[in-house]
Amino acid sequence: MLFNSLNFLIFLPIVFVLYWFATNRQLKLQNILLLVSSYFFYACWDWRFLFLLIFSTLLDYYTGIKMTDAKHEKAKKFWFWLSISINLGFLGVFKYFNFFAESFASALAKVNVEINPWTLKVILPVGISFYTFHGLSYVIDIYKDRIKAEKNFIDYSLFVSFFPLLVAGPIERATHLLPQIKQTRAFNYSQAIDGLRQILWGLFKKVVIADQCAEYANQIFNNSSDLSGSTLVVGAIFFTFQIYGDFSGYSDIALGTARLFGVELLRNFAFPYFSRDIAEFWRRWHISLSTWFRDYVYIPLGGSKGGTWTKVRNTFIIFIVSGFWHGANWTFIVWGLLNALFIMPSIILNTNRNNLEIVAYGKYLPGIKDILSIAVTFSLTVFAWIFFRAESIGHAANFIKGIFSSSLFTFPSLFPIEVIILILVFMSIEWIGKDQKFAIEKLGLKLPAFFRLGFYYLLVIAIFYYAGSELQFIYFQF
Amino acid sequence: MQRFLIKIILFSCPIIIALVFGEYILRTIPNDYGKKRAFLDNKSNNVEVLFMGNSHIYYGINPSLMSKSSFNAAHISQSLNYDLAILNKYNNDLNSLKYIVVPIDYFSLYTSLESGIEKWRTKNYYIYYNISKIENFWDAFEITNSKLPNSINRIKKYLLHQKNDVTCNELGFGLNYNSKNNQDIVVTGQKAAVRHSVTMENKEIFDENIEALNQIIEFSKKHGCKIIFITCPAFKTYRDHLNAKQLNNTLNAVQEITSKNENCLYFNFLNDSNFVEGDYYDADHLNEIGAKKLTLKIDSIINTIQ
Repeated sequence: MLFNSLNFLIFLPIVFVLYWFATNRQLKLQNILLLVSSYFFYACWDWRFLFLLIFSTLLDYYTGIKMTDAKHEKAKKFWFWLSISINLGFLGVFKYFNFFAESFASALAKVNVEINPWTLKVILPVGISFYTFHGLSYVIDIYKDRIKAEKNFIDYSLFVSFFPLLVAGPIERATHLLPQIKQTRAFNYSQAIDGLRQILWGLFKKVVIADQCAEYANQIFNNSSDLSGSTLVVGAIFFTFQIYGDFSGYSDIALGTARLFGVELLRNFAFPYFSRDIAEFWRRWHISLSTWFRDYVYIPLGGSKGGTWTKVRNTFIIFIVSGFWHGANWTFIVWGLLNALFIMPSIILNTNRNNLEIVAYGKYLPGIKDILSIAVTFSLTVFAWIFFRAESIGHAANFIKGIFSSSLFTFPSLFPIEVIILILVFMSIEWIGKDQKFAIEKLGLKLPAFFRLGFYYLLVIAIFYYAGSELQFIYFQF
Repeated sequence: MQRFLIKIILFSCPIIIALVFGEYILRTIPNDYGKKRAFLDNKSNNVEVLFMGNSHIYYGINPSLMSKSSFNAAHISQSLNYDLAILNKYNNDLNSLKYIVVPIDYFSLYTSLESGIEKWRTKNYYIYYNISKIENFWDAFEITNSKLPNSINRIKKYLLHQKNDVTCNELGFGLNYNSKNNQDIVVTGQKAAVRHSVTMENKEIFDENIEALNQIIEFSKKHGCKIIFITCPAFKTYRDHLNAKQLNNTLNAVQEITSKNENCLYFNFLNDSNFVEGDYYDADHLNEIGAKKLTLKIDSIINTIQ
């Protein structure tokens, strides 16, 4: 079931009403209802993979308890590695097996050894990267004695499978979400209203921005060899807004939906395209994944404690792993590598924590230096996204070659004014709301209800106007 | 909570009212489905030759040129299961029926309306034919099956300019593909062939279509009438881009079915050299000139076998 589907429009109010009226203030019932709803939500996509999700949940639940109860370090280690290897094993089989088999075959072909690789004909279970990472962080935290194992199976299952975050995050931590699951939740009017506002904004980002940009980005990327350099630039920029609208839109809907049930999820986006350097971009883009890699890969590898060389090495490792997490394709690895290269100057010069606060905080306009920094960072990001979107390295290389040709200085053959205006309006609203958690969190709250409601109706009309086929969220494939 | 619910309901009310009003207006706009249903409701008793099928028949057969009382019940992208559903709906009314003409084209056995990009048309059968074949609750509405700008445009045209969505004549012949507006026959040939070729064979759909064909044959036997299967003519630019395997499987299947059933006949016009470039609106659809030729050919066949 997609967040932008009509079925979700029916599903959400039903669960909401049952949650607050039938199970109100009865924690156990609330959690059971949410778990059943979450499994239903997942089964709507493909019920067969529900068993995989339940198995993964059982595995981490059981190994977590075994680790907490272990009397010897050896036993604890055994359960820890059992969980890690099975979790990564599933991820490896479903997501990476074919990639490795085909890459191995191509490597052999380079030395004139032809083999026909055996590949799996299986679809990737939606959300596997997300719920596996939930489980991994839980097991690692127990192993490192940061938390105790959760004994209540319903509560633990809900932590893994809570439907707003189940298929595309944010990647939650047990330390953040489990205490909320274990606490009686009472209805909070302003939290619920905030949630609805965030859902509305998320839908706008997905349906109006991402899906409209997708139409042209797909057209340009699919016919890149026939188009001028300037048109390819337009395509790359459209994809840049498509992926932002798509993924941050999804995250907004997830966070807003969770709020309706009295749950606060981790923030996943914080206006990344207003970043002044790549380090800031990565503190603002897919935050729950970046911090996951920081806490469970970067820091265990030594983080930034071992001098510049260790920092450089660890940065490359997390960016390559992060790229690979996104998909079994060399394009994602190169995308990760490029980001590592872009961030390197600030890592070496130790300036990676220069821009911690949002640009022009509390101000209407940025300074000239900020504008230039944002423009450079944005351009680097657009460049990297080409690899993320391309079908192969060759496709990306030809795309870039096409950009840097004499036709770069011609007028683009595809230049949809309507979509460009939509992007400008969208980014203006994002700029106005950049000091908040999400762009329209406080927008117009001081204005008379007429204007505020008028704005919300405009968003609703735009969503209905541009809604067409229910396009899947990009991050579902990861 | 009460305050929250009241606010939500109040906020949603104008949206729901607008959607319901839009749905109501859209359903009142006359269209081909409603028109053909009205004809079949009132006059199916007199129909001797019934043409079923997709756009190739919709634009390719003009029943007014037939010597027997005929009706074109084809619609764009109508697949065999919907042909069967329409026949079943009028099971008790088609008392004069002597011939059912069913097109078996390149894509007929490999696609179904519900599985392709034209799925949005399924609502027309639910709303206007009262055929409940919809899989999803949302497939039952006009407003949820077309883009809002299109719906607004239709409403605007209807309310302000009294323009409806009917594009066929009284006997169901599609009028939009006129020779004055012929399309580029090279470009459309390649595009249509790609659109009609299946990349991955779906055995389930193929078997369902064969089953639908068998049921149509059963229907015809029950009514004591003949079935004429035809493969509609298409221009070289379309034919040259077809997948040989898909085409051969289709032709073999229809020939096999025909040979097994005495009341079935099959005529393949795909490569018929009588149809020249000027007969085509685009590479796989006839214009009114081509439609006249095809209709007269079928009329002559019926008169001969009689």
